[in-house]
Amino acid sequence: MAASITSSGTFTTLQTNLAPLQENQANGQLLALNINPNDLGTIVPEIWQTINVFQKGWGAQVAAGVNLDYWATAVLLAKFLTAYINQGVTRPPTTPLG
Amino acid sequence: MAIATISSAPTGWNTLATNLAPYDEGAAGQTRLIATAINPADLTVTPVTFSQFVPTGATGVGTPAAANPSGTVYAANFPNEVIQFIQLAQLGWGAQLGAGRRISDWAAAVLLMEMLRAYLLPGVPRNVGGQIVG
Repeated sequence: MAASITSSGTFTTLQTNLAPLQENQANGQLLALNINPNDLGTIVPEIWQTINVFQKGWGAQVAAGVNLDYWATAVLLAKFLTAYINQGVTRPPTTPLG
Repeated sequence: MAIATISSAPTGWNTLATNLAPYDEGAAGQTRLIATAINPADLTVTPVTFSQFVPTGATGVGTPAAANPSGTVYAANFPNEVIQFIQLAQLGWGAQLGAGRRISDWAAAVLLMEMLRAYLLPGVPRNVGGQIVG
């Protein structure tokens, strides 16, 4: 059965100050040290919901209906995010939503 | 507010070059994935002419774009689902700043990565769904 995660509704409110991180602002780059530790002490549900979506999405590559292991999924996602961040390419603000 | 959704429905998911078979959740003798087992082709980000996924239209979810306004291009194997994941978090947490706001892709990626690192900390009991318990 397919799973999905959406930005509609309310995401868990973070205690990290997000105001300087708004898209299209000059200083939208976040350092890990600036994340409020409380946001990392309790894993927000959006994280495991996303892991669950990716378990199913990538698990389908193994066979229909297969879930990938949650650990493997989290490692894959973390490494993909690292690659995304570490590319060393400066990006201007992305295209605004239509 | 624009809404982004990412679904596990298998149609259209990028095929990874990493061998995923040992990590079947239901498999006996399952092994844990370590970073060195990831095929580097899956992680390659390169400034060449592959299509890029940029947020367009009402959904805010990445769609292939021949034009490349941001100057960043992802390799063929870099999954667009990961880009969509970042964009979804941009919208979801951006709403904390005001309706329709987005946080930057960099900030969303750093937040998500650090949360995943916290999730992966060893010694934390999880239920069968991977949710931390206790």
